[in-house]
Amino acid sequence: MVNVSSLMDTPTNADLIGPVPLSKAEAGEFTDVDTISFPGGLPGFEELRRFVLVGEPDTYPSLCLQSLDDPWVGFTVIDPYRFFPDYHCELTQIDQDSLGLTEQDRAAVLLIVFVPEDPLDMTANLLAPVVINPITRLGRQVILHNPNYSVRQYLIERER
Amino acid sequence: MLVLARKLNQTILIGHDVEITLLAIDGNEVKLGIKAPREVSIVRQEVLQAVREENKRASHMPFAEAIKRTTVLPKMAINDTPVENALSTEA
Repeated sequence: MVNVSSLMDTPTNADLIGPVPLSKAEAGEFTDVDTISFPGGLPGFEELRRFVLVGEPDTYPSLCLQSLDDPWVGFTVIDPYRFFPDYHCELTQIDQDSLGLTEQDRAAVLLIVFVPEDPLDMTANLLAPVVINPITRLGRQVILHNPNYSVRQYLIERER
Repeated sequence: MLVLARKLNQTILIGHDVEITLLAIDGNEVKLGIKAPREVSIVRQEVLQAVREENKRASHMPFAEAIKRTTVLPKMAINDTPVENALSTEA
């Protein structure tokens, strides 16, 4: 069993993007610099192209990928490596090229989660991570070719 | 929908750049080989559909409510379960 509070102190790969604090997000204080562009939108939301990442240590482990085009659409996201240290996000050449990623670049990887009534039953989409290039600020939800990864993976093991 | 029949190892060309070849037939299942430029994404339809549906399901949670529910998590120790072991707990 890992003590999560120690994990909370380590920087997340989401910090590569520099999330907008909650108070600024609520006040609508975004600048162009905060915007992340998803040229293809996301599956099911193909027409939504502009997002911001909202969150701060007080909201961890959750952050929010909030649509600027539709204020009713936001996705709760987490840093995969905090819950799945073995998580392996293998990008195809198509994925890398679409984000402007070169071999040396470090992309931020986030998983969209579903948060039910009981947060211990949260599930994460391991099969289709959200990948963001912090330099180009381009993002894409990539579908991995890993048959072991599910779109609904429980974060926490318990009797079910 | 254009319907074409192919025998083993025959190919279909789509546009200038996409080729699909029937590589194997095994009962109910066929194996297709696909050549396409880098920028063309290729995905199994049911997988894309599953991702679409999961995104829709996940998008209905307002962030304020999600924070309220998930900030209890740091107070509890969480297994850092390797993904291979976590498979048995797939929802």
